[in-house]
Amino acid sequence: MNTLLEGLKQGLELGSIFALMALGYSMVYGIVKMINFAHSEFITIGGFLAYFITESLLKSTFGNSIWSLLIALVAAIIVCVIVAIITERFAYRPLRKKGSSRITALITAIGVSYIFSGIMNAIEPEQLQFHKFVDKNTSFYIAIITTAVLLALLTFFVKKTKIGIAMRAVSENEQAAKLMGINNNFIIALTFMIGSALAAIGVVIYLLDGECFTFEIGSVTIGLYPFVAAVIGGIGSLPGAVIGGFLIGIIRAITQVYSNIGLSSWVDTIIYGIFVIILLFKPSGLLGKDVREKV
Amino acid sequence: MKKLFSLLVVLLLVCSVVGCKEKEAETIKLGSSGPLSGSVSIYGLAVKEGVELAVEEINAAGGVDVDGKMMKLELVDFVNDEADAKKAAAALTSLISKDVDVVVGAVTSGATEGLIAEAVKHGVPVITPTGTADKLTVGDNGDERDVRYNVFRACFYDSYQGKFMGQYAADQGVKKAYVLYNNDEDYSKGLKDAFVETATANNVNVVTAAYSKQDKDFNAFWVPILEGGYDCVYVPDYYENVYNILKTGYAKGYEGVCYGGDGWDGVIKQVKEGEDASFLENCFYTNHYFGESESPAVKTFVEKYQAKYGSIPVSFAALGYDAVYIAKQAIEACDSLEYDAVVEALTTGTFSGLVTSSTPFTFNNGNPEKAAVVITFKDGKEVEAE
Repeated sequence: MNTLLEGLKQGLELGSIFALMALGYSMVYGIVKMINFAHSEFITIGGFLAYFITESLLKSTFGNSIWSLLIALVAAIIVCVIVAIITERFAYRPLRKKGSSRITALITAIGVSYIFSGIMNAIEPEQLQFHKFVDKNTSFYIAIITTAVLLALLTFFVKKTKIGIAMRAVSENEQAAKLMGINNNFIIALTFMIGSALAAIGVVIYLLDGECFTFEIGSVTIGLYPFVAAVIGGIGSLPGAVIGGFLIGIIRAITQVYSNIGLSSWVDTIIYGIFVIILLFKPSGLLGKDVREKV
Repeated sequence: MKKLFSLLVVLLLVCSVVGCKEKEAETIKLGSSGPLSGSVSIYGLAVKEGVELAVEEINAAGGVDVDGKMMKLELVDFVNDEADAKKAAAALTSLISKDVDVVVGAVTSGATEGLIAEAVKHGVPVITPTGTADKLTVGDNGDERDVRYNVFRACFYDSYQGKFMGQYAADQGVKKAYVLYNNDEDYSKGLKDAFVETATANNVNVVTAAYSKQDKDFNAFWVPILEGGYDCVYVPDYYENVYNILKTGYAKGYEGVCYGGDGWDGVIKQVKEGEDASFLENCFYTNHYFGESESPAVKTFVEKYQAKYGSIPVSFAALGYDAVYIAKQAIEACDSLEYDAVVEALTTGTFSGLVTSSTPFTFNNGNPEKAAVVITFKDGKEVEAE
C-alpha cells in the first residue's frame, strides 16, 4: 500500500512536469497543425541555462537563496522564448509563407531539433547536477501547484482575453482570421513563446530538487512523453494535455516502484499500448471533442 | 666467366640468408592498436603510455632473454583504430606485414573483436590489455576457444566481475540482495547475469530490477528496495548513473551496502564541492588495480609512470604495461618467437610480478585467473577494501 501511494505521489509530480511540457506541444499543434519537435530542445536549453545561472549565482551574494532560483528561472524563460521566436521566425515561418506541406514543416522541425541537440552536446556532454534548492517533498507540492495555477491562467487567457480569442480563431480557420484583421504571424509566434516558456518552467521544476541531467534531458530523459500526453489528452485541449501528462507520469512511476517484479521493463509497452487503445476508440484524444474547439 | 657468375650468385645467396637471419634476430617486434583520437581516445592513449613505459623499462634492463640471447623489444607501430572494428582489422593486416611477433591490442572490446577476426587467420599471439567483453576469447556462444586459440587478455572479463562480487556478497554474509541494472547497456546486463548466478548458487536471495537509458531520477526505483529490507544493492553501470542511484538511495534512508563493477571508476569525481559524500563509505566496487596500493609492484609502476608522464596511471595504462610483461614472460618461457610456441607458452605458463595481479596467475580459455581488487571510499578518497 505504501509502495502504491509513493508511486502515485511521484507519478503526480512527474505528471505535472509532463503536463507543462505537453501544453506547449498541444497549443502549437492546435494552432499551426505542426508537431514542434524542437520543443524537447527548448526543454534542454531551459535546463542548461538555469543550471549555469544558478551555478554562478551560488557564488554571488544571492547564494543558496530562493532568489538564485527565481532569477535562473526567469532567465531560462526569457532565453527559451527568444529561441522559440528565432526558430519560428527563421525555420517555420518561411515554410508557411511558401505554403509548404505539413510534412515539410515536420521534417524541418526534426532538423531544428538535431541542430540544437548537436550544439548542446558540443557544450557539455558530461552529466551535470542541479543545485538542490528544495527536498523531494517540497518539489512535489511546487509541481502540483504550479501546474494547477498555470492551467487556470492559460484557460482564462484563451477563453476570455482578446488575444486568446484571436488564437482560437487562427486555430479554427487561418484564412478567415486573417480577413477579420488578426495578425496571424504574431498569434503563432505568441503561441510558440507560451509553449516554450512552459517548457522552461517545467524543466526547472524537474531539476530543482537536485536532479542529475545531461544534454539529452529533453530528447531522451523526458523524450516524447509530453507529446504522447498531449495526443492522449486530445491535442489542442488544455485540460486534456494535463490529464495526459498525469496519466503518463503515474504509469511511469508505478512501473518504477514495482520494478522489483519486472514492471519497469514494460513501461513503454504499457504507455504506448494505452496510447493506441485510446486513439482507436477516441481518435481525437480523451478531451478532444470537436475539431473546431481547438486552440 | 661462368665460374665468376656462379660465385657471385653463391655470395649473394649467402649474404641474403645471413642478412635475413640477422634481421630476424635483431629485435622482438610488438604491434599495437587502439583509439588515439575520438571520444574514447583517453583509453587508447593510456594503454599506449603503459605499453611504451614497459618496452622502455624492459630494454633498459637488457631486453628479453630468448634462448640465452638478450633481445630488445621494439614497438613497431601503435595503429590508431578509432575504436572501430574494421579499422582494427586493417591495423592487424598492416602489423602482420611489418612482421610483428606479438600483438598487444586492441583497446576497446568492439575493435578487439574486429582485430581478432583477422588475427585467427594468421595465428599471431594477441594479448588485448583491456578488451573485457566475454566473447573475445571464446566467441559469442562460448564454444569457439579452438578457433580463437591465439587470443588472450590482461584484464578480467566482464562477467567475471559479476561472479566475483556475487561470491564477495555471499562471503560478507549478505542474505537478501537486490540488483538494479541498466537494460540498455550490455555491460550492465552481463554483470547482472553473472552476479545473480553466483549469488543464487551461494544461497543469497536475489531480486532484479531494470531501468532504461531514459531514467535519471531513481527515487521510485528505491521504493521497493526500502520496503523489502535488502542488505545489499548491486549496481553494475557506468559512474554517472551509479552516482545518481547511490546518492538518491542513501538520501532516501537506505542503510545497507552497495556493490558495483569497474564502471564505477570515476564516481568519486561526480561528488560536488562541499557535498557530503560519506554515503560512499558503504559502497564497494571491483577494479583491475588500485593506483595507491601498498603492493611493491604497483608502487614502482606508479612512480615510474609519474616520472615519465606526470600523472597517476589509470587502470588502462596499468593493463597495457602488464600486457607487454605477459608477452615478455611467455617468450622467455618458450625461448622462441614462433607464433605457435608463444601461444603455447601463454596457454600453459604462469605469470607473475604484474601490476594488476598481486598473485601469479595462469590463463584459462585466454582469460587470466586473477583476483579483482575491491575498492571502497574513505574521507572522500578511494581506498582498498580488506
